[in-house]
Amino acid sequence: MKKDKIQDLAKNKPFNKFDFFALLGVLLFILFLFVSFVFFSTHDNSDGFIIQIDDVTVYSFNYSNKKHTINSQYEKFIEVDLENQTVTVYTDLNKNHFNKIKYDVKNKSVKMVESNCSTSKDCVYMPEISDNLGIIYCAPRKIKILPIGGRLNNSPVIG
Amino acid sequence: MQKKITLRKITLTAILTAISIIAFTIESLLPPLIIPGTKLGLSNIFILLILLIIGEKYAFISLVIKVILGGLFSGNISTIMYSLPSNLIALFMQIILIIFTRKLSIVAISIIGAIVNVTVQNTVFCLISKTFEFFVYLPYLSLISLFSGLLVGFTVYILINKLPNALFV
Repeated sequence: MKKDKIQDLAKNKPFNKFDFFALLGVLLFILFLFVSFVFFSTHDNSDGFIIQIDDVTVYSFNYSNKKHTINSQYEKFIEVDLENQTVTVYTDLNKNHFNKIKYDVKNKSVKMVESNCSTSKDCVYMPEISDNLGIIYCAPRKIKILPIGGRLNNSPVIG
Repeated sequence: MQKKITLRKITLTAILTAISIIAFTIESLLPPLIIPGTKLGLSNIFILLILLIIGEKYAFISLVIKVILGGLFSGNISTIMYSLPSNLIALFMQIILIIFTRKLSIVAISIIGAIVNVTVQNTVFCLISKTFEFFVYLPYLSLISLFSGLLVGFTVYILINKLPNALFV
């Protein structure tokens, strides 16, 4: 870029009047997103949750009857602790790679509490699922936690 | 004379790219802002600076290097496939805005780039991972990116005003 153009940029104020139209467009777009995905969403209680690894349902739990179901092919990769209400998912047979999920029967919620997937551990920071909307996803391990009866969840429940 | 100017461009691009990668890596170690995956986007300050004071080609090259090396250094390689297309499209949008609408300020260009980046990144993530439930986060991500774009734009504006004239190529 030429020196005089850069000096013009430097002389200009941080905002000018044409920014108004650009920012208005941005705000309208954000408002459209809120209307589409937030304001008109219906929040119902979820019946339970399922855990998927690479889109294969490996585990499901029902809050009402407290029924656990594990996919028979993944029994070696799932550990359930009934007392602490946790489910640990391993993605290798040596059990070096794990994701720990904690559920709460009373509040009908589920959350990822521990993982050694990456340095950022985005899945651990994802909000808990306490209704029929929401998802917890661990991208490096392809582990999804979805509510049963979720609006966008058409996955079959095992068991 | 021409070679000296080119060498200056390359050197300046390299320095700003290195700072951008450092900023990206440090940000990846910090906890996310409210929603997982959200960052302040401080590394984009230096990419926008390269775009404005050096040129488009250098900005593209710097961006690709930043995303790839930043992903490798932060140990989150999977983010490369989500953030590379979104960053490239956002940069392309910013270049179009600079060339065809010369009346927008640096701050507005930065905000629009941030919104485009987060929208495309969220969409690509949902398509690749087949987790369309993640679109629920898009409104909040867009709102956060509005403020981060504002911060980045203001910072670039201040830096351009403060940078010595000898740096301009």
